[in-house]
Amino acid sequence: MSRLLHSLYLIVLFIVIIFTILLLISPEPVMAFEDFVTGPFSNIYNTGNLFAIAAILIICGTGVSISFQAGLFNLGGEAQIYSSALVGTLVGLALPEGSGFFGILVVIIISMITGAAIATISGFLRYRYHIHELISSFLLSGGLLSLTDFLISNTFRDSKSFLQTTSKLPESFYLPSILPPSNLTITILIACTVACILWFWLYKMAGGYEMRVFGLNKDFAEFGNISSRRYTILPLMINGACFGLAGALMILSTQHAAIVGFSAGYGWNGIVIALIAANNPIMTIPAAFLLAWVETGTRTAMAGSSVSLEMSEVIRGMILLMITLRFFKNRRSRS
Amino acid sequence: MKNHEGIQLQHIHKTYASNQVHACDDISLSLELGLKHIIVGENGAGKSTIMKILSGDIRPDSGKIFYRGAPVSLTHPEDALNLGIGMIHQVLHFFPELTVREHLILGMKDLKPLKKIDSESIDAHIAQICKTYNISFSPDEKVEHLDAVSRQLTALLALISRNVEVFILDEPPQEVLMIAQRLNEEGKTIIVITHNINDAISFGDEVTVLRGGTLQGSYETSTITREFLANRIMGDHDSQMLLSGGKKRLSHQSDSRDLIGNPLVILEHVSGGDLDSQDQVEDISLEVGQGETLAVVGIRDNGLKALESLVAGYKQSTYRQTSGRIRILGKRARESSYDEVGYIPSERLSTGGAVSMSVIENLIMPWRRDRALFRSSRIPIYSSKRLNKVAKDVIRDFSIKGSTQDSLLSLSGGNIQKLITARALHHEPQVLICADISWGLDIKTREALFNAIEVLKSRGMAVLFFTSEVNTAIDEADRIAILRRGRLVSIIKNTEKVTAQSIGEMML
Amino acid sequence: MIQSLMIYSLPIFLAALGGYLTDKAGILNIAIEGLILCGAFITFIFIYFLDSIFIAVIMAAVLTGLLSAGFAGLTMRFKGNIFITGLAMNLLIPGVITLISKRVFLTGGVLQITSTIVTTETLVLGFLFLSCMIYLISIYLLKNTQAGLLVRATGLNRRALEVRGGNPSRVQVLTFLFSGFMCGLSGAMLTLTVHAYVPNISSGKGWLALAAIYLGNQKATGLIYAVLFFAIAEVLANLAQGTFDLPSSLFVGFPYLVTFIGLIIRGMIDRTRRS
Repeated sequence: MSRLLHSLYLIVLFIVIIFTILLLISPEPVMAFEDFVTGPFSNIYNTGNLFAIAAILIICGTGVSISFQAGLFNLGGEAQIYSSALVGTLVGLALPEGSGFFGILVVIIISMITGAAIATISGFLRYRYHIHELISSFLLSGGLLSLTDFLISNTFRDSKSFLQTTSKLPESFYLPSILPPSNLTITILIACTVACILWFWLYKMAGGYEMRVFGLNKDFAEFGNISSRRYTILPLMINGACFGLAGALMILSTQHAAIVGFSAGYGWNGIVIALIAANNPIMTIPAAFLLAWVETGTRTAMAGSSVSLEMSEVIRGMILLMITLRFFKNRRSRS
Repeated sequence: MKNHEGIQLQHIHKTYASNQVHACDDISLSLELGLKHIIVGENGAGKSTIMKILSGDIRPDSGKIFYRGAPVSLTHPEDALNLGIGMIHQVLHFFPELTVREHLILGMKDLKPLKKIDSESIDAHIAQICKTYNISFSPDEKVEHLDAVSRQLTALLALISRNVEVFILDEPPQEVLMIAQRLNEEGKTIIVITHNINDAISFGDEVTVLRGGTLQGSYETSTITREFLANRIMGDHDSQMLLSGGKKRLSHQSDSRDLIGNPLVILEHVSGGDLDSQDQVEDISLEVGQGETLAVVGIRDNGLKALESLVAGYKQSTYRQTSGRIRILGKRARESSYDEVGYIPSERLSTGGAVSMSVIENLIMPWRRDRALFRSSRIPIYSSKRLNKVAKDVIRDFSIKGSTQDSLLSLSGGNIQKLITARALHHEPQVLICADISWGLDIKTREALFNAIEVLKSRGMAVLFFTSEVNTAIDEADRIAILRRGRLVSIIKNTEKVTAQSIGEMML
Repeated sequence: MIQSLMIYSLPIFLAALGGYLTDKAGILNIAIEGLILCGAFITFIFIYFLDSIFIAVIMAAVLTGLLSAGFAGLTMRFKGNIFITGLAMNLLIPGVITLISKRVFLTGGVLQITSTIVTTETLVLGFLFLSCMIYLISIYLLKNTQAGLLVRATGLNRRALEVRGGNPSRVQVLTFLFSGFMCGLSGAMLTLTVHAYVPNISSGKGWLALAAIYLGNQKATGLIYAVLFFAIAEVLANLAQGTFDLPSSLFVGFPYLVTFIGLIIRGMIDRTRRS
């Protein structure tokens, strides 16, 4: 019961915050609020896009949850998505045009390996040289982001396009659509499957158990002979692979080519989702829908009034602050 | 109201949010200034809690505190210290990398932030106090290089230099008690928290007894006997146990064999330890045979912890073996499986378990990859049914108060120790390595733990027991190895002739 | 040449110095990146409305300091994780700035400073002097005074300070105040040297400042080496860019990669030293 009250309280507070922000920035706050809340569900196109965004967020959030549970901070998500998506796209372009399902699989796997490899470097450095993965993953990401920008806009640029982009993948690489004309493809199913599998591994299998112990108490982990090398590297590897998967799915379902800056923000959003979901892979699903709703809601409200895109950034930051500061928890224990 | 000018605690209530334990249940106390007060009680009786409340470290849920007749609000240790009430905790909090002098500065009343640190005047101050109380310190010594007693003395020094009037000492060593005696003669008030009823009667003027968070009564020590005190602490039924301790077992051990059984643990000329500290051992050779308990007694940070870690193969990055040979069941440290060697580490909440995980999850740690826990032998997925059964069996066998899904933190210290012991014994190992398992536990829990060990011992289990409590060693061991500054002084048979005093003399 | 190096490295140095102190007190201020932006924006506002560099710089430092101390204090009050609230600050600040900018200045883009301000030379010299002074004073305070001892003690063992009657949270909030103050100065310098507030003007300098703390092995002198290291890397990048005629986009990430490699080398040295 108290749990229900707690979530109710959270939702009310959340609405109050959104409304306050709208009040401050919009001349017609009521209308903007209505657009914000109902916009995402006003037509199939918007709803489908909400699901498509949520799908990618679920995968990113699940990946970050894994490294958080092991007590590791991966701040390199941005490049792990972006660079591995580029590598995947390039491999896809090199494959024969009618590769179909096989081609999709290769692109996904190559991207996952690339993402995992990038993240693993930070894990290795942490284990071997005690370099904090928070710093090393961020720095590596910063370097790779600009390198990827450069490769897309110079080396691999499609000279026929106005955009800074690589050539488009052939249509046999497109994932099957679910709600046309929106961007939604089977990604949402893949995302939920990934979240469920990792949840199962985490809570029902020995490997996940060992990793959680390692994240909670290093001394206890050592007492039980749990390998610190394995659980410093493996969680980041899984995290990187998830980011790689997210990058590949974005290419295969919506972008069909690596465009400069196409995935910006998803690495950070993954962290936000994991925190809202308290690092539980299953809980990343509702958390991702919440954030996707904020995102699409802002867009629909933008069309009707003077709301700007930054609003979703501000709301996201506010959610994060509220959740970590545990305003609710304190209130509950007082009553 | 004869103690009108003293310390009065009125109707103090405190329930810990983390585990819902009622540590203080309507406790009202009057403590006259200038006396030596003793607070006694079992583990979990609320002794430390009520004193932490008085020292501002913990806030009570309700209740009032008066000092010298005036109501006071103590929300932070600073408040209490400003009134002249200071506490030395059982588990000391200190800064390993800082010097004695710096510790003293941090404890001073009026820190002048921008003032340059004046080493000379502080050193003179330290020297003066040291001279008065006959202790010796170098102000430049880093506290990490001091032994446990000296660290306690540093903390005491800080309180003295802050002109504290009321000293609260939680389980102080003898050296600290001796200085406390001097301080009392100067008119200071001393409050000592202890398990030890002998100390209570010989040292104190007044004894206050707590049991299960409630006040049992306050007595002048001159008017009571040990038996009476034990009775108040334990209740009628269990008081005999407190008076006799584990000594009852000594009689049937007096036929201690000269030759040990088939040796299961063999140490040959072992040296090593934490090379950055005093916690090292040199040239240790010993054997533990089937069905016997060898207790190694020593000072924790002076080789005992190092030897424990080397034998258990724990924290190999910190504790390094530089030479010698360790063989347990013919294998190196850490190479045996959980059904061959059980290990009960000394730090129950850090090394012993993960506090936010459930009882089940803490229990299965050593045999987490055992097929018996999985749904089928081929698929490595945990079966909740099987996990629950194991946990329920253990909870029943060891009469642990708690349920399988509770987090470890919600259990009391005694129940946590029971769980950790149960974990080590569950697969009936041939060798048990255990360290100070009775530390801070009450008699009933202690008995339960040692009885469980005794059962397996009678079936041939060899027990290597590391402890800093001489009395526990005398109560439980067949043979006692005495460690002094990292070296083995001697290994003696535990006959009736062995006394705590004789061992203590060899240790120090 | 030297001037452009100063323009590049002084903001990092200022922010790193503030972060270094929070690290000494036990919790690294991870919100530096956002706080620099905040300082830069405040500088622009005060120049725009009051047309005084002096007031603008002071206000940027003070207000950013208060913001930093405020979020640290709230985090401690509600027992949050300061890494996570710091991350939230980094997400929030740019958004809030753009919202305000759109509302007040009717653009979310570049905000040019129209009034004339002092020459770049004076500016750089002024900030160089300022950072040297603050560096020397703060290191002296940290090493020799009771306040410094308090900061170090807080970083070593909070609880031990608490039982001695100290208030570690207060100490940490004060170091965050200082850190915010330094970020404000850093942001002010950015806005003044660019002659405008540009969205994301900090462009990762806050993160480099954090990296500098680790690269300098969490030591005060190390901080200087680390920032010098960045400066040299920047020179090399500029040289390479000019010589080989490569597009500038390739070099945006160069400082990160160089720092990354620097960290690895530092780790390798430490490792061989340990064994």
